[in-house]
Amino acid sequence: MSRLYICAENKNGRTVITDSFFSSPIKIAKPFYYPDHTEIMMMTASAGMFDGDIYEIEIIVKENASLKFTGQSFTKIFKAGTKGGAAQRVKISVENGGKLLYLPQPVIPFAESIFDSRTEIFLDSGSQFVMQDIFSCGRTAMNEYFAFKSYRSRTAIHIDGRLAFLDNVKLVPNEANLSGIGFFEGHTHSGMMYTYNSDSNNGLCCTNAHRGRVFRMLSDSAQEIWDAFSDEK
Amino acid sequence: MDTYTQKEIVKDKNSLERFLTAYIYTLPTNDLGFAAKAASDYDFSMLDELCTASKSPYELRNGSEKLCARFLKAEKMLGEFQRLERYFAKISSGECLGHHCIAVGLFIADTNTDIMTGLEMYCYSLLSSMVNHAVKLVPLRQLDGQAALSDAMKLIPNAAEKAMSSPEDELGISGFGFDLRSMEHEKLYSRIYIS
Repeated sequence: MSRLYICAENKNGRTVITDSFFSSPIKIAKPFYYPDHTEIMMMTASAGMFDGDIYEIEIIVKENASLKFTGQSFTKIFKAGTKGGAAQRVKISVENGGKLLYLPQPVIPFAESIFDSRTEIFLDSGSQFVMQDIFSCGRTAMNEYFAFKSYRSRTAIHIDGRLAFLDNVKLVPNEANLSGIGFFEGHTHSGMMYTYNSDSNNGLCCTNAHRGRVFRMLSDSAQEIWDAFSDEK
Repeated sequence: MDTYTQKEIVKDKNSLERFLTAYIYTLPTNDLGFAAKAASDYDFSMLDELCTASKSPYELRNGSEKLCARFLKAEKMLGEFQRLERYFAKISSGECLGHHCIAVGLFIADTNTDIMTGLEMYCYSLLSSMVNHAVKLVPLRQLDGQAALSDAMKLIPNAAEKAMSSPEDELGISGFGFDLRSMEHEKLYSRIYIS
């Protein structure tokens, strides 16, 4: 199991990483400091997530701190074996006045892979938060479509302790025609973006969730989704 | 369904059948699943919160809320139902939003209906209203609608069983396309149905 822990605090008007911990193969690049926010880039000294890999990520953004969290490369999920695939647990909290852009890179589950991801996010009602989740159905450049065994991703966003938005995904290519009606409808990539307290409001497919806004997009390229989302942030 | 027919993704009997197969596949972790858990005496406040959060498209949530209000009003005239009344009280106080599927589940429990029978009937009513919309919107022959419905009906018992057995953390799992089309509906040129 690999762990990443980051705590960002506001010190005299700048966002500083006051506490961090990571274990192999996860690393973080030296923080990039900007006048209005600090950026942390997660890197892994590994080709991707292998059978039995578990990543545990925890990010805490304290009062009035502003953090952007990004990744270095797409998350590739390799073939599952006897250990039942790869898993990821993410826990995020953003305090009042704090701001977090949580922008991990897209996920590509390879043929025969199994992935289970759980993300719990706790926001104070006075915080700002943006996250995106982009998914590719496989290595589409080599004609690998929906060849994984199962892909599970559950994201729960709580505001002041009450559930505000739930994005629950379970894709089992054996059980349903995932490229058909109701699912990917002929496309290969999907993207979901959630914003809370963000003032953006144009384009894309967007709706007001119970609290916050949700964007969704179907496409055939991760870059296209990334760019469309970037325009909204 | 409005979006699907206007974009001509559902345009004939064949595409309607494919739509229904996908729709019924997602029901056990959505409306049917919430009804099953409510009928099995899960905490309805917790279910209500989960349902509100998972129905992220505004119109889906709003439609469910309105249907629930009408359902409760109708049941009030029919008699006294303990669980429904407690749900109604929590909706009135603002603690719960009120969802039709949860009210249906509570109604199944309040009337001591066999859960599987109740769920199968609820599932049929969901399918039949989808078919009804498609027949009017495409439009399709009544006979084609009936044939598609009768084929989809074969999947009902299995869907009801899955609704009972699926774990709580799977509630809210839907299809990406369904969610996206529900969102698109908010901006559709002509809108015939509310969600």
